[in-house]
Amino acid sequence: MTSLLGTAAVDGIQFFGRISASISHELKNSLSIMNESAGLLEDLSLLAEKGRPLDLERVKKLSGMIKRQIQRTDQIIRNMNRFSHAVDDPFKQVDLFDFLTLVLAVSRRLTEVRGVTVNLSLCPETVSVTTRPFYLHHLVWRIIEFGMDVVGASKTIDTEIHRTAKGVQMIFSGLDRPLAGTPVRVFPDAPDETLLAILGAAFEINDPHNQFILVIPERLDI
Amino acid sequence: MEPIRVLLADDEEELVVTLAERLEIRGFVAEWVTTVEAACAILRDKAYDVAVLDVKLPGMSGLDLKRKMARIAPELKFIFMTGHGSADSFNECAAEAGESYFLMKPINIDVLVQKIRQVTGGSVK
Repeated sequence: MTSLLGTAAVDGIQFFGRISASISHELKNSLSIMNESAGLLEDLSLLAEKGRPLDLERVKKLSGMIKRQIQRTDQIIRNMNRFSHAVDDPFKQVDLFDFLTLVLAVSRRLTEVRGVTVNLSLCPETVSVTTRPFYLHHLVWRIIEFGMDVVGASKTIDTEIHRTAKGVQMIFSGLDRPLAGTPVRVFPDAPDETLLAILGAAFEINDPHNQFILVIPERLDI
Repeated sequence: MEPIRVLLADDEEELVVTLAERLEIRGFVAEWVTTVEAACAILRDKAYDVAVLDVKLPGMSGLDLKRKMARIAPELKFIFMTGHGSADSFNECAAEAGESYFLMKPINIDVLVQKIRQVTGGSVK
């Protein structure tokens, strides 16, 4: 297990870097909007000094825009903080709905640039698992990333969580089989298998429904 | 002398709306789009001198969009802007548009204006 964790840690650092870079991109976008909104307020003030009437409605809209972007930035930073702290406790209990919400939030920019929407269905009950959260986050991202290569025409991946006798299932729907000749990697490949082993998890493809199913134990034995 | 016509393409609508207004104040004709499809469609209807593109647009990279737009409007000049500070994206865009025409977000409006004038040779149609 120690050697598996070592192998996964190296890939994990790359994953951590990729997500962090994506978050920084989102922060840059919200800063840019605040920068242009503040700049436009300045432009309008200068024009008013030269005698052009100041459109107060426009000023109010720009102020509202800056407020919204501050709230957006605050949320991005909260998510970044939670993601960063995922490595604090290598083994702990997580609420899977909260967990997946965070996974989708911090990778939103990476899915958006692919033109793909990833939805999470509300869970009728609280489903918690005791696991290695950082490695689970990495594996779920790898499934989504692979899913984006084989997503259907709707460009939408739907995710849901179910508790079953075999463990907890995360289901990813809206996926088509790879088309012949499409340069799609094999899943699971060696790094995926490593993560599956670390998490005591299993990966299945539900062919008739074009679904990927990740099965994880409610409590991982370590 | 006719004003320089600028097309802004970025999926952040609030960014391009305000940037377009700031460019208009500075004497440019500025319009904006938020999708790859809209960028190509508007180019078939209207002529622009410069396109200012986000490097990463949903569904297509800014570089691929640039190539697509250049096929529709061969005379169009390009400036890239990005919040993605990776060396790879810088090198790709610098190779495509020139190092000087790759701006990091948040951008300085005076620098953007200067670049627009440079890339069009200060000329207008």
